Amino acid sequence: MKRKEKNIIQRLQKKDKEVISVLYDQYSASLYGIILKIVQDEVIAQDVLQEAFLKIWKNGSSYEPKKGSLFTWMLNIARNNAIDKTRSASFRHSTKIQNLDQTVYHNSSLKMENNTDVIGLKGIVDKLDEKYRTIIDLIYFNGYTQKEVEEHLNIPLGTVKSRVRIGLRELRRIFDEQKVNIIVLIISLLG
Amino acid sequence: MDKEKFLNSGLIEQFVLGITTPEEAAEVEKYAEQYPEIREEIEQLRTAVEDYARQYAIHPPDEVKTNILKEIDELDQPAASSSNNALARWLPMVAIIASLFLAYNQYQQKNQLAGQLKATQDEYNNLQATCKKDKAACLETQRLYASITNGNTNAVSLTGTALAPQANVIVYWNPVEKQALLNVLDLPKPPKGKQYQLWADVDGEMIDMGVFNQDETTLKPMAFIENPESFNITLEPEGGSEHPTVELLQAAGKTG
Repeated sequence: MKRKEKNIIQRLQKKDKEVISVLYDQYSASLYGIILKIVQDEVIAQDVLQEAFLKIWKNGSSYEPKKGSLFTWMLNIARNNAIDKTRSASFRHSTKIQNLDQTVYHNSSLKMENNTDVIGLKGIVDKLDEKYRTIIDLIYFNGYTQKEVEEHLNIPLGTVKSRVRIGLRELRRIFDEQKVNIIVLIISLLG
Repeated sequence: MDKEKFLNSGLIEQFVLGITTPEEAAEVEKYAEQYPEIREEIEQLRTAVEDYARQYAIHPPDEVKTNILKEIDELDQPAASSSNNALARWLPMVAIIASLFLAYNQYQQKNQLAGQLKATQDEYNNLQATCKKDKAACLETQRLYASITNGNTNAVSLTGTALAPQANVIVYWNPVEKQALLNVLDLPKPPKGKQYQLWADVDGEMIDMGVFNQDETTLKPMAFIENPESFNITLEPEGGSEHPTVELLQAAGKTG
């Protein structure tokens, strides 16, 4: 674990209020993007993000670094909050209304594309074969278990498991390549 | 399970995605502690997954952060969070403070008004006194005016001697009313310790009519003397003399 993350975790466990600001600056955009993918509504997503950070603050002392990374832990909290929201009666009611006006959806997806475009990484997500991406997204962003993926996609459990394994390694390869490309780009620019 | 087999078991990936059971997680941790390569593998896959999540990152509006920090601050102060109870607890105190404040305010206001009333009363008394004085002065002036315009009043003009050439004094003399009034129009300032004195000349004898100042502004009533032939002004020691110092005759005027 990086020293910086270790420091953040210690401060979170000690209830140092300033650490929330640090965590927010570092992770809020990633969490918000995923929450938005799940709830598909900006106002609701902001509520969920706020609730998630309050939970992160309250439960900070119960986080165990051994059980997974800080980001994964935070993502679990955010994701569970978002999923709970989609199951609530008020959410179903409000999305029914929004279904009449699709602009909300379009606005958020537009923003997402812009975001990846601006940082020059558009296409990275597309480089991951869809058969891996679907499963990783369902598990990582929507909180499905492998068994639930099996039922949802009607794919044998063994296949789901191997796709998780290969998909993650693919992801690592794609990002490594991207990093090499960036380094090559920087070197060529300097040269 | 040996290290290679474990690396290919898929458990590490499930661990990174957070879908392992607690038993499986414990097993991964055990291997991670034992083998640096496995630790490294976990770290790399985590980074990849987090990078992947970051592809969807969207910056939330700033007010979300403000709200979060505010709520955390409020959680930190239990008194503020249970605002209903807190209000019930503080209400009597607030009421007491408020009434004390009000009472003090009214007390101050009362004092202020009392001060204003006193000032107004003083001013009224002053004005009344001035008015009384002015009225008396006015009556006196009217009386004196009546005296000098009376048909029986003679105005005797006294002119200066060589000692006081510019001297100009009038004596209004009324034998019917038995009244003599002095009107100083112009006289030189007397030397220190000296004062002017008015005399009536009756059959060659100077009779004292009283002392007066050089700067008399109103008509000054003097002693009335019967049958004066002339009025004379001399300079005398302050308080006047029994007999005039004729060498210091300043002004004189005949009655006839």
